[in-house]
Formats: sequence, C-alpha cells, structure tokens
Amino acid sequence: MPGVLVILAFVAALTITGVLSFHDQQGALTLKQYQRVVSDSYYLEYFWRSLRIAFYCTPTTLLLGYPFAYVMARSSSGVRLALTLVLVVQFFTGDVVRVYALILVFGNNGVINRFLLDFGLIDAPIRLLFREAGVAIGLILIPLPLMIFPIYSVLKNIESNLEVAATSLGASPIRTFFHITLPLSLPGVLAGVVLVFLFDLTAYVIPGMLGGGYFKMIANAIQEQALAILDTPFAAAMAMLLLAITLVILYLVHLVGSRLRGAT
Amino acid sequence: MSANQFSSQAVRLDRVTARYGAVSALDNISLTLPAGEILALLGPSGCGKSTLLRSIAGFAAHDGDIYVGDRIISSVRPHQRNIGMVFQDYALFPHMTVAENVGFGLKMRKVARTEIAARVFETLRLVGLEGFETRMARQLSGGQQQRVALARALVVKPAILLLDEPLSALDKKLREEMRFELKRIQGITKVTTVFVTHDQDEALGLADRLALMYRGTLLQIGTPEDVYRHPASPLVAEFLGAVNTRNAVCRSVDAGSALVEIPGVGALRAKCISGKFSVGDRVNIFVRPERISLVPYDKQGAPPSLPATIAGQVYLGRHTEVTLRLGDGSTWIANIGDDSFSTKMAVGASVAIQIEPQHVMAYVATDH
Amino acid sequence: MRRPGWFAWSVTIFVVICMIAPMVAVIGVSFNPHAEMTFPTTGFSLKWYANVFQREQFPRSFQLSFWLAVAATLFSLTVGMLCAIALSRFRFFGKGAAVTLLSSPLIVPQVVLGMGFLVLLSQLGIVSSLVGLGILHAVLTLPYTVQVLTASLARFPESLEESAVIHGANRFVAFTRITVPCIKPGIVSAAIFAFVTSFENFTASQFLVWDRTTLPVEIYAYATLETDPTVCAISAMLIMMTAVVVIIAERWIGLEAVTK
Repeated sequence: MPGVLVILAFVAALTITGVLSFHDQQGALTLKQYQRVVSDSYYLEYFWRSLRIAFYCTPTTLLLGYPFAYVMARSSSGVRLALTLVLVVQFFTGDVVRVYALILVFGNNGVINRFLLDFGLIDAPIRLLFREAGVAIGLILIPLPLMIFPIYSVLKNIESNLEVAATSLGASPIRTFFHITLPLSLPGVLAGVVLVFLFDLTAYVIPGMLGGGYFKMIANAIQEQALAILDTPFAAAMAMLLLAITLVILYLVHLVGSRLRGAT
Repeated sequence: MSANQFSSQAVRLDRVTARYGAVSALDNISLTLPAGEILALLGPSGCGKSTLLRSIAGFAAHDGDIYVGDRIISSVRPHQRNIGMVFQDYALFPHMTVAENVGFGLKMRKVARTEIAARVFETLRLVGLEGFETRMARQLSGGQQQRVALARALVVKPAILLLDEPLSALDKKLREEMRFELKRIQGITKVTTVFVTHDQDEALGLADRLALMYRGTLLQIGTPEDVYRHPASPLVAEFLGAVNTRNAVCRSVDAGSALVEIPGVGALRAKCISGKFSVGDRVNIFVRPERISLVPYDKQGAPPSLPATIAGQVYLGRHTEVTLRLGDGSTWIANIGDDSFSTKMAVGASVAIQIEPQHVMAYVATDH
Repeated sequence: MRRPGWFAWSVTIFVVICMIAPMVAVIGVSFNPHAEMTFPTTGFSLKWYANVFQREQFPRSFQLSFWLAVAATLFSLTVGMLCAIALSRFRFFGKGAAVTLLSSPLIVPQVVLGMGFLVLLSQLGIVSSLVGLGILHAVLTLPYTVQVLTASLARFPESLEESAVIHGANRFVAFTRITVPCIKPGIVSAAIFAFVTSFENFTASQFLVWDRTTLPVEIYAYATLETDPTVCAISAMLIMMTAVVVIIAERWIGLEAVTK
C-alpha cells in the first residue's frame, strides 16, 4: 500500500510537470514554452552541447573502463578485491565529494599545475577547469564505476576456456580478444554505455562545480529556470524535453539490445 | 521411546486430478497404499509423478481426495499434514547445523528442548551420522546431506514419508549404497513411503510396489516382479527394461497363447496379454533381451524359432550383448549369459532364436 | 585463464591513480593549516575539522541526511521485500507493467525528478517539508531494493521454504526463519545501496530545500561560495565513513555480494 502511494507520487510528479509545461505563467493553456525552447538558440545550445559532450566522453570512459573491468575479471582474487574496494568506495562516496576532490587535482592551484610549475615545464598554470575541458574530465572520470560494473559482471561469466580454446587454435591474444571476448561482452558494454551516456547527458554536479558557471549543461539550465529565475513552466518544458530525449535513447538501445540478443 | 515407534498410516488417493490450464497433469488417479509399504512412482519426465507427490505434500492444487489413515488431508495446510519429505536437492537449511536442521520439525511442533536433543541424537544414529550434530549442513558430502535430509524428515515421526528423486543427485556407487540404506531405515521405521523416480533400477530395487505413470494417468501398479514380468501394456513393457519389439500377425490361437508370424522373419509362439486374439489380427510383440537364447542354425530343435545372423557382439561382463540381424534386415538385441557357448560364435554366423512362449509378450496392436 | 596484457594493466593503474589521487588530495588538504586549497601541504592542523562542527549547518544537515537515509532505507526495504515476493513468487495481471513502473525512477533524470516533486508539492501546498523529501527519497531508493531483493529471491531455491513448511512451519515462520537468513547478503546489499543512494543524493534533493536541507546540498553550497579547506575536512570524514562501511560490509557478507 505505501509502495503504491510512493509510485503514485512519482507518476503524479511527472504528470503534473508535463501538464505545467503546456501552460504559461498566468495558467493559460499554451504551446509557447516548447516554441521558446526550440526557437531560442540560447536554450537549444544547452541541449546540443550536452549531447555533444556525452557523445565524446562516453567512449573515452569506455576505453578506460573496459581494460579495468577486464583486469578485474581475469586476475587473482587479491587484485580483484583491491580493485573492487577502490570502485566501491568511489561509488559510495557521492558525486559532490568526488567532483570537489577533482578540483584539488585539476584546478589552477591543483596538484597537476603545481607539479608542472615546480619542474619548470610551464610558466603559468594551465586553465583546465571552468571550461569545457574541465567538465569533460569530470564526465569521463566520475561515471567510471557505472561503466565498469556491468562490463565486469559479463566478463567474469564468460567461460575463460573459450579464450584458451581460441589461442590453442592459433589465434593471437589480440585476435582472441576481438573475435571472442569483445563480442561476448557486448551486452555489458551496451549497459555501461547507456548508463554513462545518460549520466553525462543529465549531469548536474559536474558542470556545476567544474564548469563554475562558465560552462553549464542542460540540467543546470533547468535548475536555474526553476529555482533562480522561477519560470517553472519553462523549466518544466525543458525537463520534459530532456525526459523525452532520455526515453528515445533508451528505446533505441532497447532495439539494439534485442538485435544483439537475436544475433548471439 | 525409540525411533522405530512410528504410527504408520495407509494412504489412499481417490480420483485425484490436477490441471495446468488445459493440460491435465493428473487424470483421475486412484490408488491405495497399505501402511508401511514403499511405493515408487515411476515414469518419464512430465508423466505427473512429481505433481502427484506434491499433491500429497500439499504444494499442488488438485481435485479429488487424499486420505492418510481415515483423515482426508486435501484441505489441510501443508505444514499441518504431518508428512516427512526429502527433496531432490535435499533443501537443507544452509545457515543451520545438522542438529538444527534435523530438529527443525520438532521445534516447529514446540517440542521441549531436551526432547528435541534426544530425538535428534537418536535419529542421527538411525541414519548413521552420530557425531555430526554441530557441523554446518553445507560442509557435508552429497551422501551425508541425503542422510541429514532423511533424518530431518523422519524425526517428526511422520504419518508418511515422501521422497522426490532421492538418489538422482548422487553418483552411481553412492546411489547403490544409499538405496540399501533407505531400504534398511525404512525396514526399521516401517514408515509408509512414496518416492518419485525416473530410474528403473531405483524403482525395482527399492519399492514394494511400482506405480507406472504416463501423461497423468496410472498405467499399472503392482510388485516390481509383477510389473516387469507381466507388463499390462506395451508402454509399460517399453519403459521398464529394454525390449525388442515387432509387429506381427496372429496365425492361430489356443488357450492363452498364439502362433504369431513376423512378416519376412518367421513365426513364434507367444503369450496373449491384452485384448481378444483372433486369427488374422495384427499384434505387437515384446521380447526382453535376456529371454533370448541362441542355438547354431544347424542344431535348432523343434520349431518355431527365428533364423538370424550375428551382426556384432559386445562383452559386458555379466553378459554379452549380441546384435542379431533378422530375415527382413532389422536388428534385435540379445543378452547372452557369460558361460553360454553362443558367446564364442563369430560375427556372421547363422543362428536360430529360441524364446519360451511365456516370454514373448503379445498385445493386440494399438496405434500408439 | 588468460592473464591481462600490459595494455590492460597500464590503463587499470592509470584509472586507479585517477580515482585515488583526488581522495588523497582531499584528505591531505583537510589538514592544511592555511586557508588555501593546495596539495601537497605544509604543516598540520585540525582547525578545518573544528570549523565543520562550529558551523551549525553541517551537523544539522548531517543529522537530517542520516535520519532521512535511515527512514528511506527501512521503508524501501520493507516495501521492496513485499514487491519482490509478489514479483518472484506469483504470477499476476500487469506484472510486466509493475516491474517497469517500479524501476522507472532509475531512468528519469534526477533534475527532472526533483523538478517534478517541486511542482507536485507546491501544487499540494506542502512545499518545504520533510514529508516531500521523504517521499522523494523513497522513490529514489525503492527501485534498488526491489531489484536486488527480487534477484535474491529468484536465486533462492523455493524447495528450502517448502521443506520448512512440510516439516511444520507456517508460511510466515518459513519466510522469517529460513528465507530471510539465507538471502541476508541480498538484504544487506539492498540496505547499503538504499542508504547510500539517499544519503548522497544531491541533484534531486536541491529542489526541496526549506530552512533545512541535506548534507550534500549544504556542502555544494559551501564549496561554490567559499574556498577554504572546510569542505575537504568534511569530505575526508565522509570518505573515511564510506571506507569503514565498505570494510564492514566486506567482512560481513563479502564484496562480491555487494557489487553482484
């Protein structure tokens, strides 16, 4: 019963936001909010840049996450435990603290710049944060656990004899990887990519802290409209549009996923 | 008190029927099991034997009545039926010790702690596991887990004991050992026992009576010997023990036996088992491999016998399995005793197949 | 088993450094006696830790976050268990829809969810209350508990429960004495997930601020306004807390169960 109430509250919250997005601030029915989003390049830019940054950060996260998951799945239990420990602590520490910690490393006064300055490799700090590069660094590093866990859980269930068999039939390690391991782990890769892409697309804390107001993404724009500018109907319209994009992506992934299952 | 004081009860099933949607898993099953008897439910997978066992346990919905003693238990909830059950995977509680597992049923019955300890000790001794009380269930071997599961089922002194594929998870050697143990323990407790199996050796070796099931119906019930020697239908003959089967035509009939001719092979005298035989009928005949004896073709005695050639032989220790090619090109299998001279016959030799008429089982042909 | 090659190892080591270095920096800076955020530091001081406790907003919001997470965890464990039983043990009309609905909060962007609750609660006239935050966190945590518990129950052999029943336990006793102890790893990991999800939530929670708010919102606000190591001190404490919880979980049920 209370479970039903909670789910009801969830559905009601989304529905009422959807309804609100079709009203103006005086409460009259209108499509004006959506017209404003799609006609104003200022707001469209937020959608565009969020998609663009998610598009190049997700593959980078995959490139870093896959080898990590592979090592986890194919090494001694001690190494596996240590890596799991690192990951779980990451996962549980929370975005705000983790993103904050990145500032200490990548900031103008951070570990990297200090190191380079001390060794005379640069004369002035390189500005990494408060621009797109900084946000991208965050979007690549922070969601790594989301990429690693699904790939790891698929990889560890792949019969490792398959790889031995392929090698015994004369396949080099690289060919074995691309012909056996990678295709079999695609479901995990797909799950990880979806999780990370949606995380990047809807990120709030990372652009908020690492962009420092100079580089905002769509979630920041929605929050700003809702809490600072207090134009809730307009914020609702952007939120609905973001939700729609999310659902479309999930639907496409569902199609790809069923083709993957059909193929294997 | 001791472990062998059981108030064993008779079990009676009265038109038990179960349906999953349009499929009937159990179709009008009626049978009576006297107190203290062991009944094997035997049949291929999907024949309804497990459903029948689960109906008795109370885990499968069904129509019809199930009596334990004079009590109808159909509407009694499973935990109040006073049944002991051993599950196929043993279903030992992994977080409990052996003693806690065995004592579980007594604890649920609110038996005093000291009595629980005493009865657990006694039952563990019965199954040959004294001293294992404090081990964790998951640390035991398969055979030991089986014994714990049996002790857990017996300790409550159930009215009946149900065993679901009790030996299927064990390897061959352990299986034979446990079969002996089950028989011994049941002999002491005299608890009415119903067990499910798809293994005919298990059924023949353990049961007082067999119930053969097929597609939710009861084909035949009887002692192992009875069912093996006198299968009531071709299905029973085929399921229980290997058989050679052929279609034949009835040529002449006298009291209880008939002369049947297998087209292109020859004629045999056969025992009429089902239906009314008359000359010209199509019949099915079944011959068990161990009932076939072979004589050199030139030394054959009085007909009728079937001519054949030896197509191959495999020495299997207890007997030699001989493949015979009949006149029409088809093959039969014969198991020939080790000391028989026919084992020395070479592949390609011509022989005559001789079978006692009572071992040629003939049924009026059905299109099954 | 094939061993990973040098490439996989180098990437892994790089990633581990990327993950650990910021944490080390945070802990290091938290002991910095100067009001600057540089690492490595010179000197040692606990004054930023003292500052955490002197600034009323941190202990207050920690309390709120903690009890909110406890309540959300207890709620979603109980409700999640009931849902999991229904989903794994029974067939019923609309089961597929129920599964989708129960997991859907996971796919809705946090900012949309927070926005939705803001609008809903203001329509209902209960903006700025603990109730709203409570419902939001119940929505956030329930999908995790339902998923983890349903998976645990699906793996749990039903014959164990049946064997308890046939030997005299009623359904309720069989469930509490047999099923619950056997799926304890699943329950613990569901609880940890729910607690952490609630305790760390920032994006959705920031929409439901009244005169009080949760710890992550408070930290975020402070971090964007001030540039002294106070946030490092509190972050260091949170990292330690997490590490302790993770180690206890590892000792108790094994990490494999948590990460699954």
